[in-house]
Amino acid sequence: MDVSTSTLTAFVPKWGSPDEWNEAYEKVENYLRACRINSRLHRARLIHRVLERLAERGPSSSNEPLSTRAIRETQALMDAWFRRLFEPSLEDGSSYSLVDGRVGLLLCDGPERWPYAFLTSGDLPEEFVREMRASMLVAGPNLEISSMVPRQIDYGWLPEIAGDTLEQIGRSPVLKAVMAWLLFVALLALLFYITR
Amino acid sequence: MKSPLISADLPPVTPDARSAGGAAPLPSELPPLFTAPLVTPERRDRRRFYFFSAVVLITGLATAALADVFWDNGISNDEKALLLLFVPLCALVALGFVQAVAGFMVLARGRDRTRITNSLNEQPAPENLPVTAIAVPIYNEDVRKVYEGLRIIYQSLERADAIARFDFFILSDSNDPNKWIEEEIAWIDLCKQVRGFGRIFYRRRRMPINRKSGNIADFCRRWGGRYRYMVVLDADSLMAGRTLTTLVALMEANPRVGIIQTSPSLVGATTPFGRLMQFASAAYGPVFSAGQHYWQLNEGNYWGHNAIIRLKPFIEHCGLPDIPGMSANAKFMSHDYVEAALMAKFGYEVWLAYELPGSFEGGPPTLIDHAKRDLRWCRGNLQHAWLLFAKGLRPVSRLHLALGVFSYASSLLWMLFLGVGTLYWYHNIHRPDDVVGTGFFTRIGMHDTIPLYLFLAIISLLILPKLMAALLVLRRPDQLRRFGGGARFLVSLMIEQVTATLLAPVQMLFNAVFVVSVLLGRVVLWTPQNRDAAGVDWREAMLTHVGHMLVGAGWGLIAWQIDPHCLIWMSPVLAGMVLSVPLSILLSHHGFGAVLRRWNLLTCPAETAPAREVSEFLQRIAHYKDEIAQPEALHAHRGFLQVVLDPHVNAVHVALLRQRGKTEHEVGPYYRRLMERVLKEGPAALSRREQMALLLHPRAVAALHAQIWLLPDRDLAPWWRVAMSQYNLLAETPTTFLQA
Repeated sequence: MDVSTSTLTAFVPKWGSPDEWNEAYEKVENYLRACRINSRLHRARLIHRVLERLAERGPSSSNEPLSTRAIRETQALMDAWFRRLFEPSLEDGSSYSLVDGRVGLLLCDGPERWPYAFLTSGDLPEEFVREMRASMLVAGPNLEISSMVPRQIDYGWLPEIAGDTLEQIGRSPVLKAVMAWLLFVALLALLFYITR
Repeated sequence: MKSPLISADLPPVTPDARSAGGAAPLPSELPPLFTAPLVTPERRDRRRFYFFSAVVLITGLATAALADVFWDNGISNDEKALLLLFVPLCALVALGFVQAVAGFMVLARGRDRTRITNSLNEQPAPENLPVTAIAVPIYNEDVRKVYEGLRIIYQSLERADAIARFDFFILSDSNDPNKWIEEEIAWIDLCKQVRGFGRIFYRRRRMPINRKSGNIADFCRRWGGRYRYMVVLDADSLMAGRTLTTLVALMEANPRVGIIQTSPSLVGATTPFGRLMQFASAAYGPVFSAGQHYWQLNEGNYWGHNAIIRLKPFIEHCGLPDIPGMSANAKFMSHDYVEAALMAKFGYEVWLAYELPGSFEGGPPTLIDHAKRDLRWCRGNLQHAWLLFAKGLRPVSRLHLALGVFSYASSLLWMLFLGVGTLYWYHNIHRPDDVVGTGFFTRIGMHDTIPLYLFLAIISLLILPKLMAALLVLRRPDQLRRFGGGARFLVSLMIEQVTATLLAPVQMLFNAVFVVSVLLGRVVLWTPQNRDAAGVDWREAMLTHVGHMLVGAGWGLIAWQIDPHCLIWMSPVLAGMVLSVPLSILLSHHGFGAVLRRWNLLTCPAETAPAREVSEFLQRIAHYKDEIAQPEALHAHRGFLQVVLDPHVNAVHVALLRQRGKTEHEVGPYYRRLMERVLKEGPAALSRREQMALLLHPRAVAALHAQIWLLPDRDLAPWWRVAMSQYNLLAETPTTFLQA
C-alpha cells in the first residue's frame, strides 16, 4: 500500500491475531473501494485510521469479529463526518440520514472530484461542502394529477354476443374442450369433403 | 395559404407555461372539422375515390379473369374456395400497389400541398414553444442503448437551443431486478454527465398494469396536466432536436391536430437481416409512406412511438376500453391504433409527417426476433377485430383497424390458398383436356395462357412498387451515391428481392401459427436464446424452424407425388421453408453483415451519410465493446450485486423508494428469511420475484447492505466474497455505468 514507512511502523496492534487484522484490513479496503475511494493513498490512510481507532478501543467482550467492528468503526466515522457536513445547513425539524450523505456524495461526484476530502478531519473545500449540501435527488417533478379513465365503447351487438360467449367458454373448461373437439371434427369433415 | 407559426386561436404561450395542459382548446371551441387550408373534404373524398376505385378495379379484373377460367366447365369446390380466398389476398396486394403508385406520383412530382409541415412558415423559435414531455416507456431493455439514445436526443436539443423546452421521463416497467438497478444507476450517471437533474426524470411502476399503454396512462395521470404535448419514444428511438421542436411548433400551429406521427428510418443494423430491413425501409419506405398519406391525409394512424400527442384530449378521450370476452380490465395490446381511432372519434386529426427527417428507430436484428415482435403485434392487431363494429368510430379508423387485423390474418389465408391450390392441382391432374369450355378466355383461345398472365400480373403488383421506389433513387445521383452507387444499388435490390421471396413463406408460417394460437388462446413458446457475437446458433434456429422445414419438405414431397410440375411451381414458396434454418443463421450472422457492409451492399443513407444523431449514437454504443467484462457469474446478477454492495447505489435505491411516499414497514420474517438465504447462498438462491420483493422494501434493502458488510466472510456465500473483492477493481472508471 502507498503509505509511508513511518506510518506503518507506528501502528502495531497489541491484541488480536494477524489473521484477524488482515481480514479487517481487507474488509475496510473493500468497503472503501465500494465507496469509490479510488485513491490508494487516501484509502490506505483511512484504513490505517480506522484500524488504529479500533486498536485503541481494545478487544470486545461480545466476541464480535474484528472485521465487523472495523466496518462499524468506518460507518461511525462516515456518520460523524456527514453530520459535520450537513447539520449546520439543516432547517429546524429536518433531519439528516446516512442515505442522504451517500446520495450527496454520488451526485456531486465527491470521491472523484475531491479525492482526499472523504472522511478527512481537516477543513473541507468550500465548493465540495456547497455541492454536497445542494445535492438532492428528484426523480420526478411535482405531481399534477389528471383523471384518465377507460373510455367506454359500445362495441355493437355482434362483438358483445361474441364476448359473452367467449367469457362463458372461458369459464367452463369442459365446454372449452368440447368446442375444441367440435372444431377438429369440423376440420376433418371439411378435409374429407374437399378431397372427394 | 399557410397557417401562422403560432395559431391565433391559442392563448399566448409564455416560456414558463409549464401547466400548459389546461390551455389546450376543447373540441367544442375548435373550428369545424376539415376546414383547414391543407385538406378540404372535396380533396380528401376525391383522393379516396380514386385510390379505392383503383384497388377495386385491379381486384375486380383479376378475380373476374380467375373466375372465368374456373367457371369454364362448371365450378368445383376447390375453385370456389380458391376464388373466395383470392379476392381478399388480391385486394391486399392491389392496395399495396396503388399505395405505392400514389406515393410514387407524389414524390416524383416533388411537391405535396397536403403535408402537415406546410403549415409552418418558418423554423420554430424554441423560446416560444411550450415545455413538452418526452416519454420513454421501457421494459427490461438494453439499458445502455436506451440511455445513450436519450443522451443523443438531449444533446441534439441543446444544440437546437431548445433543451429548456423539454422534460424527459424514463418510464420503467422492468421486472428484472438487475435491469431495474442498472436503470437507476444509468439515470444518475446520465443526469450527472449532461447536467440533466430536474430535466430527466425516472419513474418505475410497482405494478406494470396494462403494459405500455398502462405505463403511458400512468404518466398522463401523474404529470399529464403539466404539459400540453407529449412525445412518445420507444426504447430504441432516436430523434433530432430540430425534429422535436418542429413537431411542437406544428402542434401549436394546428390546434385541431391530436397526433402527428413521424416516419422513423431504421438505423444501426449490423446483421444481414437487419441490413435487409434497413435497406428496404430506406429504399421503399418513402414511397409507401407518401402513398399512405395520399389517402389518409388528416385521418392517419398512430404507430405508438416517434410521435407527438396533444395531451388534454388524449387524457380525456383515449383511456383504453376493456376488451369484451377477456379477463377483467384486459386492455388492447396494440393501443396505438385504438388511441388514434379515439382521437379521430372526438374530432382531432391524426397526421403522418412522412417528409419530416430526423426520426429513427432500431429494427429486429434476426428473423427470430422479427417473428417474436410479429407475435406481439399479431396478438394486438387481432384484438382490434372487437372494434370493427364499435359505434361512433370514423370509417377510416375502422379501415385502419381492419387492415391491421388483415395484415396478419392474410398469412393464414395465403397458406390456405396454397393448400387448396395444391389440392386443385391434384384434382385436375386426372381431368381430361378435351372438355370444351364456355368461358370468355376459352372462346378467344386464351384459356391455357390466362392463368400464367394472371400469375405474372400478381407478381408485377408485388414487384412494381419496389421498382418504382428504386426509380426514384436512380434518378437522383446524390441519393444513388448514398445507396453505394448504381451497380451496388441494383445488386442490393436483387439480394433484397431474392431474400424477401425466400423469407415470405417462412413469415407466412410464423404468422399463420400466431393467428391460430391467438384465436385458440394458446401461448407460443420460444427456444431460449443462446447468442454470441456471431448471432443465432444452430440449436435455436433448428428448434425454431424445424416445423417450417418439415412443412416445406412434406409439402414438396406431396407436390412431387401429384405432379413434378406442381413441385416446380411451388418451389419458390417451398425453398424458403426448407432452407429456413441455414437462412435464419446466415441472416443473423454479424460477420456476414460486416462483409456486406465492407462491400457496400445493402447499404443506405443511414450508413453512408448518417444524421449526426445516428453516427454519434453508434459511436457511443461501439465504445462499450472494449469494456473489461466482469466474471460471468457476477455479471448475471450485476444490478443486484451493486444495490447490495455499493453504498451509493444502495442509498440511491433506498432514496428513490422513499420518494414514493409509502409507509415503511418493518422487515418482517418473510424478508428476513429472504435476506438470510441471499447472504448465505448468493442471489441465485432467490427467484426473480423474491429478489424484486426484497428490492421493493426500502428497509430490507438498507438492512441487506448493512448486513453484507458487517458479517464476517465465513458467514457469506463464496459468491459474495468474490463479488466484494472484485467490486470496483477491474474497470478504469469502476462505478460508472454510462461512459462520460
